[in-house]
Amino acid sequence: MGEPGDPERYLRMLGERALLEAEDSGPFSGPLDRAAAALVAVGALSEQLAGSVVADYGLACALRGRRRAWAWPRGAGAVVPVPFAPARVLPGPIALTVQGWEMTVRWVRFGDDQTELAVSGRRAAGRPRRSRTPSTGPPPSLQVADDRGTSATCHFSGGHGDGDFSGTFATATPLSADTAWLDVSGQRVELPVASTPRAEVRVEPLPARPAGLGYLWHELAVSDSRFHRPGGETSAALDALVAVGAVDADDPEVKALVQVGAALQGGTGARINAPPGLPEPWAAFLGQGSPAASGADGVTGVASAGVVAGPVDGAYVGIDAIEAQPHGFSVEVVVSPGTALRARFEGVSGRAIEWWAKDDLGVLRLGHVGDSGGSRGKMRGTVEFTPGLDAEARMLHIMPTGRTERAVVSVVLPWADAPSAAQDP
Amino acid sequence: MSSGPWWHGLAPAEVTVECSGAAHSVRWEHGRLCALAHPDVEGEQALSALAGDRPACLELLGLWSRHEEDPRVLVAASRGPGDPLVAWTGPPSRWVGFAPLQGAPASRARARVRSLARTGPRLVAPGPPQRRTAEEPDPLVDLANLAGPLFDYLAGAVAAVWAERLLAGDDRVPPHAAALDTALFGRVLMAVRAWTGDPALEVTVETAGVGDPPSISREDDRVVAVLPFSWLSRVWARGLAVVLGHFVLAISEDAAGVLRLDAAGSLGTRTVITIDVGAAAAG
Repeated sequence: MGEPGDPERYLRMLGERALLEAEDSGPFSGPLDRAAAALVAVGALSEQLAGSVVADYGLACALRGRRRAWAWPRGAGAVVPVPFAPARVLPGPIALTVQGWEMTVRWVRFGDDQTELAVSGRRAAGRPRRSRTPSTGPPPSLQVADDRGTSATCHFSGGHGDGDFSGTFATATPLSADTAWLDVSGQRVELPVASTPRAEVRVEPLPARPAGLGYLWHELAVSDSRFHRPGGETSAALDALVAVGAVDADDPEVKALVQVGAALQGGTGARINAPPGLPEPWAAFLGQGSPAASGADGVTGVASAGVVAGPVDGAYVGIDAIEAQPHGFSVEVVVSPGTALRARFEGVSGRAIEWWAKDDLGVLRLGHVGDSGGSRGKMRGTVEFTPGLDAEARMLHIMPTGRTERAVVSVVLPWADAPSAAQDP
Repeated sequence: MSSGPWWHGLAPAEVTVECSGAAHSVRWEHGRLCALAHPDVEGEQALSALAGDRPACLELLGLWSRHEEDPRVLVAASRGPGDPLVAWTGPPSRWVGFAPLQGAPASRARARVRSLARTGPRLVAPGPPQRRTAEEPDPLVDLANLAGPLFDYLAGAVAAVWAERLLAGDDRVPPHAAALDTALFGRVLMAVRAWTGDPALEVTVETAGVGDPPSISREDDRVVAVLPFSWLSRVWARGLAVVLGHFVLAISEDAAGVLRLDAAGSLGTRTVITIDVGAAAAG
């Protein structure tokens, strides 16, 4: 009946073998999902049909008591991207002492649905303890109020241990973005007058690429497997595209892609000898050698951006702030639809965003999504980049990248004495 | 010799349903599902439509009939003895959502259908209302959780429907050709591996065209089986894929109910096994 090269038949056979040969894809997206997304990306299958096949085999797995890749529910439908206003971000540091905890508020973000305080701290020295063992508990929740009379409880989310912590306190309801002060558990904190963020935004098309190879590079950039499960996902996509004739397995670029994929396992900090013939930005990324700030000597500071770019291949991207640390920097982002933020949540659409960043010293970085939360409609998250920013860097170009276009958000780094002339990334 | 009905020789099966405050039996026999306590199904369906409260037995019959042609049943259902399903009482992470609302008659009936466990006929009261999500649950979960072999029987019925359509050249077949091929592949794979005792054996399955003879042979390090899609309903669904150490390629049947099994004793050899199951009763 079905033709051997038929994409649907290929996908179903992949699902059948995975089901019967007891491959447990675990909580992250599995080979079937990734093969399906690849086939959709090159137009070999409709998103609806591919999604149905994945959902049917997901049900079959569940009926056998097996885990399956997390996915949105069957029939959940497409999500419409919704434009949103940029958040106001006030850089810290703001020092507080709350219930025996010394806290440093690194930044405060006033979003349209919640207010977040990024805080690090430790248990104050000399605080009496009931136990001789070090405290491993989290810091207490904070009660935060604005000058409009709105008050909210902020619960901690993040890491803690041995008396230290670092994370965010978030309100369930937003506080006023225009408030002149915050009352944090009884301590009034005058907020600095926010300077206007110096950021420029543009959206530009990407050079046309062959659909199959273009998708494989895209998946390599967004795949969680770089960090959690080496090998499987790009291999599944590559096998699927070869099977339906969308990619030639003997193409030198395919071999280069496999080589790069293997080298990237374990994170974006890896440096390899770039194979010849790589497309951009991979050639630049892999060909730059070890950046100057490759260790833990990057600059520290917070830069607010407060811009929304897009749509970029159907997604709106908010860049709220950049927080630089010695070992790297993170970018606080908001994305609508939320499914575009995380590759493993986006189903089979293949529309997850790649996160590239380049400073004005020419160092190009590939980011990955760390913490994230929200809904299918809109998610916020932290995109993490290494290495840290050199103290000489004056501008950072953050480039949320889709498959056909990208945004370039150019942010002047406020700790630099003066911005250099804006340069294209 | 004829082929006879696909279900001939299969044992009846029953589930108990909490329906209208009593324990009712729903029975599968002769290829049909019957609500024994509801002799006038059509009349009761009309009445229940007016009243807005469909008896759980009829809810189950309706659910069954809506999936008798559904190829998705073949994806969800077992591929054979080596592929057991488990009772799934949830909450399933992606299909949850089944959440009977208090006072919603149809949902209550559905909850009772869902409560039938695979572990055997028993009466289970619907649980407390669950969190309701916007997503409609997959009704196949309710059918897969039916006690005993009922879901396997439904898979046989689905396979029989599509086998007939294939034979007739029905234009509904091409859009589902890949799904049907795969359904055949998975079941042949499991049967051949069980037959050879090699759980890692590579098996290639070719769907035979109408009139093509079935065959099974070894080619290099793999087994190649050429079987018609009707093998699923005629052979596999009746539990006759492997009989007395033979892999059954086809079955024919005479009017007295003697099944003639065209079987391979080993790769490359053929034999005939006969089984007397008695004449088929009227379906």
